[in-house]
Amino acid sequence: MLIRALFHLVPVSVFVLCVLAVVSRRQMRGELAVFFWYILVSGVLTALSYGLWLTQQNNLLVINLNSLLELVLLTCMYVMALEKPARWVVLVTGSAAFIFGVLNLGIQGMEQFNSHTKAVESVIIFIFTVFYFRKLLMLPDKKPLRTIPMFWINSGLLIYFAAGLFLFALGNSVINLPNAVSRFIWGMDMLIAVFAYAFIFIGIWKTRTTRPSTSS
Amino acid sequence: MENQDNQTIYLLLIIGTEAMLLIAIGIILFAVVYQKRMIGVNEEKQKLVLKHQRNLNESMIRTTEQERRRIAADLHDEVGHALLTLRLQLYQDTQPEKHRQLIDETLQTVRRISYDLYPPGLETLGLENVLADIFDTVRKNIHVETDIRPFPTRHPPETEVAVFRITKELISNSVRYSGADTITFALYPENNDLVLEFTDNGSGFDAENVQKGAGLLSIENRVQAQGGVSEFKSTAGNGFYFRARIPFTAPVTVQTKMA
Repeated sequence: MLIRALFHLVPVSVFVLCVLAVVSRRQMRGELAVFFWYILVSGVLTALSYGLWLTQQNNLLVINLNSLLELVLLTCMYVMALEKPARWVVLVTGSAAFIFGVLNLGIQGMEQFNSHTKAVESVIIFIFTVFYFRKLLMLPDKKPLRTIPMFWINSGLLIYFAAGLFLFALGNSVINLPNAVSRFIWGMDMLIAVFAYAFIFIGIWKTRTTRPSTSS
Repeated sequence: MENQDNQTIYLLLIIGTEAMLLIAIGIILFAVVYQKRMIGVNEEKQKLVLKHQRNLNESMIRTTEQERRRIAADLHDEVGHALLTLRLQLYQDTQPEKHRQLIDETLQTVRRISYDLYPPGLETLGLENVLADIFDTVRKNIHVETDIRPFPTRHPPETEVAVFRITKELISNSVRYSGADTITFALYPENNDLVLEFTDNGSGFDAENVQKGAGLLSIENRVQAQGGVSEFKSTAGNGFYFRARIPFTAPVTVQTKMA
């Protein structure tokens, strides 16, 4: 029952994030502007995927497309947020992962879960988030981290991609597990996603209460 | 067999996900705690800087007041008293020779006070010569070794006055308080800076634990006012070492524009 509720809770959470991002659009500048588009694209594709799931159709093509767009937008965001030389590392690894993801569509198939792409994406976003934490800690202006919107967003992304890494890597194996076990594991992923969205929600909310310059 | 494989994947997923979640939370907590600690360290540093600044200001005020009191005492006790005696003797007009002697002594006192305020030779003879004169006087009482090297050009007047006063304060501390019988002094140019080194073999003090006195704070204050840096080392019973490095160029004078 709880797991079934989580399956509905994730699209609702993404929808809430979309609404908040739209009303906070003016305050989301610099790398946060790219994050705004990430939320919006995720919102549209999650809605599409959710619709397909409700009508019991294969939604893996949408999920695979979401992964690639997610990779592009988050790479762009970290390229804007970080400074050299980390910026170059992000740009090169992000681009390489995207090319790999496109090629993988052909290897794993468009209507199969692209576990390799998602696993690679998780590893590199995990590294990007660590780079960003390093940058935050090196800032000469020592504002408390809780007041910086990007701290919350970065934390949300770290939680989501770090905790989801094993699930994404072994995603296809989960499909072969007994239905109840598979549902339990996906439910756990949904729970982590909702937890991460809570962090992202706080981050976007902070853009409304903090001056724009503090986001970077 | 297949069931066992499924169980392995299931366990791997649970453990892996939990472990990665813990790592992620650990990274976030580390960042928060580390930054909190850094903010604490920065605040502590700023407090120390403010405290040091306050001490310097207090010492400057104290030194100025001490200087005023000393001048007032010199004028009252020596010049005033001598003039009073002279007036009394003039009324009696008994010993003209004593009048002359008293007038000479009073003149010497006035010269000394004037010299202490601003040595006239500093402007005409230059810092190196004035310092050499001072050490010649000190040499009468204790052993002094000096190494005063020539500078390519004259220092800005404010630097010369600062170095003069710093040197006098250092000598005064050594002679009055430390019981030193040997002083070494060096003044030389180094990479466009003026370097002053001073040591004595006096009683010293525990520099780590003893709070700096007004004299040392005043010295530090004068060095800082010239844009320089200073350090001193001392341990109880092992003498005193002081080194200051002052930029050779004159400090920038800020002019206020009148609207």
